[in-house]
Amino acid sequence: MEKITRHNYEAFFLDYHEGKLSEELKMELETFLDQNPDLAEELDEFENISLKPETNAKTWESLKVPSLEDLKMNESLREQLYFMCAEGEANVHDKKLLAGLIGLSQFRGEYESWKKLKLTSSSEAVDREGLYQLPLSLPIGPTNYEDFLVARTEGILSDKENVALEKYASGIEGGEKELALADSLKLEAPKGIFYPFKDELKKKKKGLVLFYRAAAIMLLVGLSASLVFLLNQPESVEQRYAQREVVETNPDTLKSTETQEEFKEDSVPTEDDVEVEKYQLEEWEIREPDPVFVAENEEPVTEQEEMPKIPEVEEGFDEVEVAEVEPLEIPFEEEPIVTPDLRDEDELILAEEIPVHTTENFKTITEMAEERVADQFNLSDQERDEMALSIAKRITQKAGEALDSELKKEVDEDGDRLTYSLRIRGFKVSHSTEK
Amino acid sequence: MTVDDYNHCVDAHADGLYRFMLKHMRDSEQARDLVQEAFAKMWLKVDEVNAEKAKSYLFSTAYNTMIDQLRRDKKKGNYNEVEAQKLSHSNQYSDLNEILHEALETLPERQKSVVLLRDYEGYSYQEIGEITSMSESQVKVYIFRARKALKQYIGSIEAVI
Repeated sequence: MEKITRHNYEAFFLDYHEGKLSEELKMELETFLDQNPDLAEELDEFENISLKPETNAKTWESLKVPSLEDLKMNESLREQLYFMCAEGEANVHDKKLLAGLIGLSQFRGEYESWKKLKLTSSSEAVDREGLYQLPLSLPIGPTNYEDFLVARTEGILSDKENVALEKYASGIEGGEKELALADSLKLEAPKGIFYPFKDELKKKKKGLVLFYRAAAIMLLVGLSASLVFLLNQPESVEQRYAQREVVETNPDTLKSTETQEEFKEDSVPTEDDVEVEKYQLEEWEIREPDPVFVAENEEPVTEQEEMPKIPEVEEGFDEVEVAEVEPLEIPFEEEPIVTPDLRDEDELILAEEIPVHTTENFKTITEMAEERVADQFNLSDQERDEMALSIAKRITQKAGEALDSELKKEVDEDGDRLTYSLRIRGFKVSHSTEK
Repeated sequence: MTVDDYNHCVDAHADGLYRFMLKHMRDSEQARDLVQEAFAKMWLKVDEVNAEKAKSYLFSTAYNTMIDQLRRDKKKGNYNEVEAQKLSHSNQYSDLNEILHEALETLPERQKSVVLLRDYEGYSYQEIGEITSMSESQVKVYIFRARKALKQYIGSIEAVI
């Protein structure tokens, strides 16, 4: 047998670690280590070094993507994979690895036994549904009496169970009352509670929505087309306004403008036409008021013609006597200016205090004068009519003088026709009657 | 689901959904917002939602939104906890239904929801489970617990009276 020396001790260390040394050699190794304590530490280190690659070198974390070969070689990795798959933590790659492993017969049994062991010890295996079972399958007793009462409320008891419950309840104190309560223990939905915005929740049909959208689009297109058409008109809006202004200020230009338009329709516009059009626009912008416009603001000066006097009434015609009525002299009294009394508070005016005026109460000046004189002199109706006529004539005469008017009565040469004519300034009306 | 179906849903279920939300939120404005949000979500998926399942979809959507909002409010401290003093019952009750509604306010949110869906809307256990994301058995148990609590509440009133 070879003796342990400092030259061959590594082989003995390896055999010691692998358990291949006999008891005799182990004793000899211990003696050698006592003599060489520095090598004893080396043996300890050798054990650490030699053990690490087997157990910890290939953990799941250290291998980012373990391969099937890694799993075949390492039982720890395989167990980790089995655990992750059983707990539902495996990703797609892990599941592929598991499928690959299960495909190999030597690992299939390993996974099945491990899975079985794992699931039977897991809480997932507990039948939770079983915990919720109600004790209604048992005969009615003090422990499940309440459950039967609730089951009656729920309406899930069979006829037979109901009879059994009633029989049991009748045998205990207050049982019938509890049965009645069980029958009425259901909630009733309160009435009068409604969701207030149902219309806002409702939707319109797609077809209808599409119709509205299509209509909106068509409307927009129509508006756009109208705008484009208007903007592309040969005569701009400004020009239209300019022409309109010219026509309003000088109606004589209307004819000429129309004539121009008629002419333009039959002829091709020349550069001169464009210049004329441009000139008209510029002219509108800086134009002085037309004479017609001035005439509207200034009173025309016309020569006054001396009107002939009213001729005498011929025989055969009614003579109208014009009575002269002297106007009453009413002294003018100046009324004092009343300053309104300003108050902080609003003044309350009753509706009854507001004077009511209707058209029936209004009378003309002549009517008022007529009534006043008739009342004063106690005139008959005929006298009253004559007086009214004379007043009217007098007022007409005075008004005629004030308005530069003239009333003429003319008889034609044959004497058969009488014509009354009234002129007020430039206006004249006439009326003729046959004899 | 067509537009007509959707509008029919508004007429048929808006009131019920509003009542359900109002019972939970105790605030008409918030309840209105939740109803509006539920219908808005349904309108977004109007082509996918089956008309027959529309009511369930509406209640489910509104319920989940409401639970989220209640959680948020609770975190912020805005949640209007029902005070015990508020719930101390008076002796002047018009009828049993009124007492039941007062008792309803003492229930936890889940129990309250399942009872309301059951009694107000007449949903089956399965439908309530779909709306509240619970199993049928869970729904059944919650309803049983709620009913027992309601019964106890009424029993305590009778003791007082």
